[in-house]
Amino acid sequence: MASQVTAGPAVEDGGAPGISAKYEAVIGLEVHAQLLTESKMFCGCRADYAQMPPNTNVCPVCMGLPGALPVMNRKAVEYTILTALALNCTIPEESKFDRKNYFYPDLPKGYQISQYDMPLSLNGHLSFELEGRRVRAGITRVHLEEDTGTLQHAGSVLHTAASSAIDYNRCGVPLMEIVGEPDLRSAEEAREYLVRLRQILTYLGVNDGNLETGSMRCDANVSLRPPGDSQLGVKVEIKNMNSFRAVHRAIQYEIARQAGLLDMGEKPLQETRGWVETESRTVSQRTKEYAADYRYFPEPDLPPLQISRQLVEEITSQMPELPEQKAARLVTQFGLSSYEAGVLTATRASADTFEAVVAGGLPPQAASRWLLGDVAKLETEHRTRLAESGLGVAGLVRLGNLVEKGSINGTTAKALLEELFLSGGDLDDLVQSRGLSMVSDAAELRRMAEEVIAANPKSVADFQGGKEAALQSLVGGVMKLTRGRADARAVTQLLRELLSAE
Amino acid sequence: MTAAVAGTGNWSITRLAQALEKKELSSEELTGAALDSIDTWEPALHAYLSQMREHALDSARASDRARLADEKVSLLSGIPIALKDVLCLENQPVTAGSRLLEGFTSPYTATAVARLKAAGMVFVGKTNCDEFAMGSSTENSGYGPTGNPWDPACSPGGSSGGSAATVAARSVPCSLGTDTGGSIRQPASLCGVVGFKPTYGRVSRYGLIAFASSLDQIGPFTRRVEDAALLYREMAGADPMDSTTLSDPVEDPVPQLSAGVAGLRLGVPREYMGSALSPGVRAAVEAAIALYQEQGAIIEEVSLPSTDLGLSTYYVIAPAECSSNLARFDGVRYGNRLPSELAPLTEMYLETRRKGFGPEVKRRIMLGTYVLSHGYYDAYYRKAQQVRSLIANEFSTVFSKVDALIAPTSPSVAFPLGAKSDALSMYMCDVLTVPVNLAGLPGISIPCGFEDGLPVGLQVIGPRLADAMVLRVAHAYEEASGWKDEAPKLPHTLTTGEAL
Amino acid sequence: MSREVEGTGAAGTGVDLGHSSREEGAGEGELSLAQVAEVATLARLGLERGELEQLQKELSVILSHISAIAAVNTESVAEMARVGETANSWREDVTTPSLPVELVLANAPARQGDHFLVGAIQE
Repeated sequence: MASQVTAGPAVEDGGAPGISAKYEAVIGLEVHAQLLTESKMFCGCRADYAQMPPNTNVCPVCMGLPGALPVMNRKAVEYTILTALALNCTIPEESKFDRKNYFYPDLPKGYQISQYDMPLSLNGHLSFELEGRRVRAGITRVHLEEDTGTLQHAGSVLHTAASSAIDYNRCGVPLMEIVGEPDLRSAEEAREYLVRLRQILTYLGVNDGNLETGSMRCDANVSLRPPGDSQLGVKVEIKNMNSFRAVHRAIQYEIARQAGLLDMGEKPLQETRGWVETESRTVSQRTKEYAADYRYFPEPDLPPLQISRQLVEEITSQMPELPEQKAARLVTQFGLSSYEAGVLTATRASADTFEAVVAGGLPPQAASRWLLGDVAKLETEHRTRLAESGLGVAGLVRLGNLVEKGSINGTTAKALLEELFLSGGDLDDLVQSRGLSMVSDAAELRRMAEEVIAANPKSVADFQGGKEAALQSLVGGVMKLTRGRADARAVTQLLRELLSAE
Repeated sequence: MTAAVAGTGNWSITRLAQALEKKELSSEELTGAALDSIDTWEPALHAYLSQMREHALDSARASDRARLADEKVSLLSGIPIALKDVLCLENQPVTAGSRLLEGFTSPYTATAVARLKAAGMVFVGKTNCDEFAMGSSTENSGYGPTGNPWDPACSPGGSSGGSAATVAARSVPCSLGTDTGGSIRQPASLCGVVGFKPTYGRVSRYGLIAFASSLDQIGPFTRRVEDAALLYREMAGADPMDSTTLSDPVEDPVPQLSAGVAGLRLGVPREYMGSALSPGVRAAVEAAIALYQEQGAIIEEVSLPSTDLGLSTYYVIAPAECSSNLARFDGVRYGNRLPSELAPLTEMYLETRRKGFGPEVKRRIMLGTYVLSHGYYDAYYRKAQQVRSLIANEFSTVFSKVDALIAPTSPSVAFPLGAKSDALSMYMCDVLTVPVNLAGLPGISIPCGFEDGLPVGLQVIGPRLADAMVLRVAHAYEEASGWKDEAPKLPHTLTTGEAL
Repeated sequence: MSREVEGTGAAGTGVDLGHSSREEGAGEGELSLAQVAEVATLARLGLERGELEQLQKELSVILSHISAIAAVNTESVAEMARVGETANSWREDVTTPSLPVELVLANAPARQGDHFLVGAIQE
């Protein structure tokens, strides 16, 4: 399904897609994801290099010293296959690594070990709901390669920097490349594809899904063509998109830019453009002095891979429930709305929390209400997950159940929630010591109601004279006496009984 | 030199080890004598790129202390050995014969070297070689050529010329070389020593500065086949740092060395005895074949029809891999950066690699880059890989009929330095050795006579993993012939000093 | 030759599965000076005209020798990229110590603090 676009100036967030039916956008995403292994792809240095001082996570292999040789990380291969299976790919029985040859200071060997014509997986797809329709985006392949080092340019801009400093800590971190087919038709579809893809990767536990830090990276190929045309237009590759918002805006901008060119009878150039966040536009990345010819050939230092069907079965058996299946199950099993299920399953952690809370004994509806409401607010506000907060999953279950049983009221519960979330403590002690539990002793409540009736003869008379509203002020009086620790409905009921008996 | 050391120059490792064990000789004496002999020969040979006198003597004394303390030590403990300068040893320079790596120090040790170190061997120095092991004469070294001890005006062969020459000169009992297309066997042949290239994947390549990854293999130079077997046994076996090492258990070649050749079927490939052989080489090899027959071997003429395609195939695959393997020498992390520290990157790449690499290395990088480039891959690289299969298959077929092959190692004996001025005639030196690398087979060269006073080498080739068989067949000839005691004389110009 | 635009050094820029066959490459062995210059550029070898001309001659001779393989019938012959194929030679996902940073930088031609340093990247 295609949404039509139109030419226009730079696009603001949420800018409405145009109404022109002149062009159809054709978008494919290439996503790189660092794998959450312990060690690097081909050596024993750490895969988690964050926070490490420069060049302290480096060995002869990953810094490409003369004589060093790669040895592949089995876990990285398995993670890639796991991901490929989750994306409905087929896993060929044979695979191999190849060398992709090019010179750049962040690439120590002068080649990147990657996969060329025999990747670990092929021909998958990712499908998702967007605005009530189902989008099915093909996945060309998921393959495995190694990450490069990082460069810091003096003066921060590459082209004018007099020098660049290199840190090889990241070099050799396992990097999975997920190449998507050009099946996406709008910036919204592209963003949603990326959101769903990240959700799957994080569910699988193979990647942390962080576009800002670059542990997950996205490039987009964008072209326009007349609607219904089967030929692809001139393809422009967009880089430097470091957030979902950037992906959305950059693609919107690029569609508009290309449409503008086509409207003027010009053809977009086949080129690579970078998204400049601060200027809200894409700019042409300087054409290289040299055209590239990567001279791929089979990596002679690494024997080929034979992926037995048994290994594929083993990996399949480790497949966790994926977000879409999980959401569907929450609807059928717990009677949640699909909206609630969707939000609760946004991350594996939040879905796990929900299931833990329910398993702990809080009714699903209440669990959903708490988690999507007050707990979510606190988690966002304080950047702390429930499980790591002072309250914990068990605390929420107890607190929620006190409300369910009518032992405390909602207002009290909210106050307690925040306090426990931030500072911890024992729920029962707090309720006890502060006298927060509801006045549920019928005799005491009756004594208080009689006291209020005795003190408010006018309201009593008004009520008995037919003024229903007068009852509310009596209820208020009782609530005040209990300092809010009574169930207002029960108090109303009690007062009616007492007044009608009089 | 102490009296104990005099005359040990021709001793086998086993005999030296016995003398060390009985304390008739100390490793310090043996090592000292080796270092002195190296110094004596060096002006004529230039076999070394760096010497490790203090390091060697320290290791020797450590070995002596271990023996004196009656610690259980390896047979190889205290034996001096030289390393081709493509092998990394922690905290020692390694240049691969290239100016680009002048001053580079390796922070780690090659697995094969580490295994010999663990056995207590004494490293005396790093030997000269063709730059990045590319060549057949050692003339491509960025630091000048090595001479042949039999005639210093001649090449010792290459690329492991320094390692072959220093063993031929009797300075050290053994050395390590590497063989990508004949770089152990051909210099062994030209220097009249034993040079053994094991089955590909038997000895770890970790820490060997790669020339062509799918062809490179480390192996020993010795004066005796038995010594080669001892070193091979020590180095061979799977290495977790090299995924191409084989997991098959290593067969100990030593117990079967003396099993002889009676009843063995030995093939002589017709294509290896062609018209390109010099008369002296042909005569020596034919005599060797006759001697095998006398020993009871069944000699059969066999055919390896694709032999003449070996060089063409090799000169696609080896340069292709080298063009990629040498991309890391870009002046960014190590090596001589030119023209200046902070020259613009592209200029720095171009200058560093232009000045750092010699002509042969540049030629092969160019050739390799070309055959891998867009539009030429299928016609050259893919095609060469297929022909490589054909060559390997032919060997397999032949080895279903014979136990081993015997052939000349090199079509001719040592040639004068500077004699082979064009690349192609130099490449022809490897015509009888490259097929073995392409098929990943074990091969050895052993002395089998002389032509005009220069040594001739006999090549024994076996099926994959039949390293023990190759050593056994070679040993049978060595025992039956008398060549092992032939030693070159120190040139008159150098005899003013004390000689062994 | 159709070519892919080079990446910025960020790992991976997708794959071009267009290893096309140009049979005229083998069998003729003739190289133009422009081709030699292009290959030198790809290999980052700064060669002067004289060197390029020399290489043009030498490479042409070598290539014409190599072209012998073009005539070989290799129909349905498997490609042999490596010998001693041992599939799945992998290691378990375990960390091992890295090098001390001083050793990492010991051979650095230029450094800034604990970073390697290169001059302007003006590609």
